[in-house]
Amino acid sequence: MKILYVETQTGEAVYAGETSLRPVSQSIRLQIPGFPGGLIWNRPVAVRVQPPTGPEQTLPVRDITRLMQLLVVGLGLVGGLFTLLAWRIAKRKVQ
Amino acid sequence: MEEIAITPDEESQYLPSEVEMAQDTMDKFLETASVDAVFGIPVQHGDTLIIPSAEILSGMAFGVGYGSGTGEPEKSEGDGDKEAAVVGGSGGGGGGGGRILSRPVAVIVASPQGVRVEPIVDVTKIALAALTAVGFMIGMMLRMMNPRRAFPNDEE
Repeated sequence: MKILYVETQTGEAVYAGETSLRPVSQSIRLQIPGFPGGLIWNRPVAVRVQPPTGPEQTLPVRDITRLMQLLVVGLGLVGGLFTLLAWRIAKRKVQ
Repeated sequence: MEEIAITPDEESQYLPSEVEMAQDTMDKFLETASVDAVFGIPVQHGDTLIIPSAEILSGMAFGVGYGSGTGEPEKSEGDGDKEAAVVGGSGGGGGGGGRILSRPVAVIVASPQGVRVEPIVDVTKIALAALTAVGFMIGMMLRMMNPRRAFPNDEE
């Protein structure tokens, strides 16, 4: 019985001159069987660019805000744990 | 009040409208998991095409309930020898709630110079995360400096 569904979808092409752009998104769906409701997280993943000449390119869509948030919180946690460790070592040396 | 089991006939009296409404809402909710919800309508500005993109988090839950019951037979003064009428009733209802959170992530810019993805940085959110992290570190340091509330020794 599946609870978590991850789907990657590609949208219809949008044309900028002769270049075609295809948006790609990912949806993560949390749905408990028998429970009326759920949670859906939709996010952009990439854009597939097909120029008039040359190969298709995939440009990733990066969520800089989310990355920075995770980095800052991660640094805070690591910093806190490092301080705790340093304090314990210093205390042991004094004793 | 005596509780009785609901019969299929009684159930069907409430089920169509409430369950159908709930099902419609659920279907509309599931439709949000599409590319169109994430990428906005392209905006043409001269030679440049701009496509906005956003992250969408939506959640919802609802419930439907129904029930019925019968009471003691009641006899009024004017009824004489008539059989007492059985008092009873039934009802149904439903409710639900949901929330949609949306945040711009990036803008796709297609110009004659090429296609590029311009990220949208939410400084407020980053500052809040930084304040939380700094608060955590200060709290930990204060606890370590306070001998009464300090973390226990390994030997203890």
